[in-house]
Amino acid sequence: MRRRAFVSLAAAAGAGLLIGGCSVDSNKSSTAANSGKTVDSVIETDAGGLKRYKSPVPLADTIETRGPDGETPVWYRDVKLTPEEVEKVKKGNYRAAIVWHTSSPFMNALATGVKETFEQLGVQVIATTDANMDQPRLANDVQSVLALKPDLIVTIALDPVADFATFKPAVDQGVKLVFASVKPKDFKAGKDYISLVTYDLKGLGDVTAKALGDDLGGKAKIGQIFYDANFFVVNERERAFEQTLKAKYPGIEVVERAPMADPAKVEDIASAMIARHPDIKAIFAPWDTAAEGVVAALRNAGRQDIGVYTIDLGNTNALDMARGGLIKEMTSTLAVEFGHTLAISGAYGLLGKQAPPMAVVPAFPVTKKNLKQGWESTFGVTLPADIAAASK
Amino acid sequence: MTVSTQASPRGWMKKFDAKNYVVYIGFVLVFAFFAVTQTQYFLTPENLANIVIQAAPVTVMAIGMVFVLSAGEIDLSIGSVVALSALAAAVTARETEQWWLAVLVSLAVGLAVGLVNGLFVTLVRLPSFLVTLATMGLVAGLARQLTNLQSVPVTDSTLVTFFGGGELLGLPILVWWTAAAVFVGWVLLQRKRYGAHVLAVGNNASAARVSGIKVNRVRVMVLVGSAMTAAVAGLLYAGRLQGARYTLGEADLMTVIAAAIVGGTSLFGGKGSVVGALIGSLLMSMLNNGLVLAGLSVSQQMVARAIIILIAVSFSLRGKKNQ
Amino acid sequence: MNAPLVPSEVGAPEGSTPQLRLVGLSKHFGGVVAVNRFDLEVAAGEIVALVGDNGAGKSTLVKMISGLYQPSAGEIWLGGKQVSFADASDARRQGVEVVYQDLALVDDQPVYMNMFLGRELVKGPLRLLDRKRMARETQELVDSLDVRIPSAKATIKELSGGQRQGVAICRATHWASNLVLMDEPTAALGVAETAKVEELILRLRERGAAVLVVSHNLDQVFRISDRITVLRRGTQIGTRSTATTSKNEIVSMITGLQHADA
Repeated sequence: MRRRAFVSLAAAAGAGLLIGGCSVDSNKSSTAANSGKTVDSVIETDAGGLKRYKSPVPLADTIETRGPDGETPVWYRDVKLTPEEVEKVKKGNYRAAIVWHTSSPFMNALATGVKETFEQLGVQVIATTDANMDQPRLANDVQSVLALKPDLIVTIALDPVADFATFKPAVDQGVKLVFASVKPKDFKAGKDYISLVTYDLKGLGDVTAKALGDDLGGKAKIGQIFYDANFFVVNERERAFEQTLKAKYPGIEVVERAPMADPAKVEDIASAMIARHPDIKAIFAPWDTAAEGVVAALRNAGRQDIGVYTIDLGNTNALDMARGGLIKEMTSTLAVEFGHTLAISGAYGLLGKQAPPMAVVPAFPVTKKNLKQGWESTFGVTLPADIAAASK
Repeated sequence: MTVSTQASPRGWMKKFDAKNYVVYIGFVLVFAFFAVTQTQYFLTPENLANIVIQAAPVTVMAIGMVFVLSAGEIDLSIGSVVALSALAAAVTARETEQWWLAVLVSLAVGLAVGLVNGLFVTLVRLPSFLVTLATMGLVAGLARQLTNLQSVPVTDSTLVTFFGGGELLGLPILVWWTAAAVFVGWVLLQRKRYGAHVLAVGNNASAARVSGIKVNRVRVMVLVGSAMTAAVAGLLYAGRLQGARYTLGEADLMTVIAAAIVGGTSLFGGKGSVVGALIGSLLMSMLNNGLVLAGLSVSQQMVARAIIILIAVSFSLRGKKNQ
Repeated sequence: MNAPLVPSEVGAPEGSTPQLRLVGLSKHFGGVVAVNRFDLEVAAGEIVALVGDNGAGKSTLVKMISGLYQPSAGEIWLGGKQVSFADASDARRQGVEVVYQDLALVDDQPVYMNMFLGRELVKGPLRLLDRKRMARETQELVDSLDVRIPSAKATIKELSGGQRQGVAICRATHWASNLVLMDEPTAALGVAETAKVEELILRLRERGAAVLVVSHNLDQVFRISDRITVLRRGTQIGTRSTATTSKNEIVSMITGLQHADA
């Protein structure tokens, strides 16, 4: 009996592996997290014939955000290829790897954008990895992927200091790198990597501060939950929020700034905050999962009068907002387009064309009023059915 | 390896108890699978070396864990010790520029944590699960405080070569580290009195006690040993990654325990295999590597990995329960 | 040394130096008296049975003789010399071996490792385990005592209850230079295995060991012992020569129908 069970289980595992191994579906878009019908109205085709997204807000002439080395970024739109260049890339039969730090609806949308554009450019995605926020794992993934001898890696650094050694072997091997949001310290654009693509960090903070400040009439007490860990993109957006709040809305007082490291614990932290400061009118959380914890805490305490403001669109929060709940505003960016821009920047490197050292996608506010458009611009698909129904 | 010595008319087939060799069979099968389907990239010496190198810290810790589990204890604090010892070494190297001092500091951290664990288990008589759960949090907190979450680069050439990217006689130095750890671990467990005592304590502590074995001393020693292998792993990380970060080792605890158990060490004590832990660790590193090379999507990788480990672990554990 | 009052039959058979001599051995736990002035002699080549009902103090007595408890009063003499035991290891070192009810065997390890548990043989400058020699000596030992096991290399797990008991007794015999103490040696065994173990115990006597057996199985006691000593509620009721007493007498001593001698 035992022997039979062993054999059949082993066979099942083998079959599973075979099926998995044979169907290398890396090239197909996997928007499972944000499944919905694709929306054409947010899409445009650029001069090179590639699929791009329209910005839901006007793009400013000057961008205030600066890169980690002080670079002045360009808007994503300015990263583009001519039709001839597109053909040249297609002829190259290039091979690329996507090496991420984590999975999330946002990262999946990014990956979708990257893969869509690669498909249009004839670039084959040979491997996808997810380091599960573990920096040594990221190093291992890069090392493993390099054995496949890719031409290009679309990736992100988890820690600018620690990941210098992670990506140096790729540079030494002559593999082109394009980074999303975080790059290794001391890496030079144009030399070690092609370009850094990210969102308008200052814009994220500005937009959120503005939404919160305007909603509260410029004068109120609020609470802030901040990320007590070393992660550049989150630290930057928080810094932008705080700076803008202080500069433009001096009447808004942050009565408590509570640290958190694990989104699962946010509910307790928020509950304690409103117990200590019952007079706050709003709470800012640095990203969507943290905001979910805040909403849960407020609901449990019966405080429907406190507004929650955050950055990044998430399903749970969107549903709450659609129902007129506690989430008042979520600042979002063009997630799928972020991916397009990454891929196109990568193509610059493959062609040996000088790329702008940094490109950004814009930040825009998403409130109940423009939830549908905001969602579509971010993810490129229609609102999930339940959220759409609640919006009516 | 237990082989029945009962005279049996059915010969050697009956004696070959498949469940004791699951990890070796699994290893060969998985290796063969990747070798055949990904020959071009998988079988290169460089890639095979990568598998061993990437597994090195986990392998070293798994060997330490074999002793802990064999003695009937468990050490949940190893991940945190990796981070603290690596950071302590990196900071020491930065401040004093003496690589040997950095190594000493790192080992001292392991020794200290191991002693704390051991003393609370033997003198205060708390279960090692609870004690090491507490020290896991305590040490992780210390690691965060040490550099206020900032990573520390490691530039000392000795550290980077000797614990990281160096080579000796054509083989990467981490392969030598792995071999050394396996050799020392195997001799200690199978060929020295210490190993016999560890296994006795894990199987039947009262029998060990009445036989004159100092049970408490054995318990302290395995916990010190485990924490010090974590410190060595911290040095290996710091050397190879050329930096130390407070999140180092966070993901390793489960992998280490899985490697030991898949390799035939019993969660309940009394049975341990150092070579099995090596194979278990290499198996998991090979899975990570091969699944990436195969171009599987991330979800497929996770499912495949989980299935294989589940099978291996369930058969390893069944061996003990079904008597 | 004053010779204390010796109740009948406490002393060893004429002409032999007792391997074990207990004089006025007592144990108190706070106000509770667990054993009250116990006297006994056991000679080499003699099997003495210690009987008594539950709670009579038998296991306390065994623990004092094996070094696990310190006596509150009284003396222990081994091989003609007065001794005291700092702990169980000390008792072992002085030649007292115990076969425990639960056998104290490590069942994942082979017979020969159990035989040398805590006293493993090593060889060479690195002091590596000398498994060959341990296995060989174990096989010789087991053969000489006619304990039937598949091999000295068999794992304890693979052996039957009676075989494990045989191994435990072998171990005690091998290391004991003064006394073998057995606590309910066949309590967990079936009829056939009990018979085998009793044969083994008798063989020990032939080899000249001094054996003290704690047993509640009176039939067994009458089968194998030379003398029987009875404990009731911590007090020694009396000691009888097996040949000259009867089950009824022993039972009445155990249950209290017969009062203590002197």
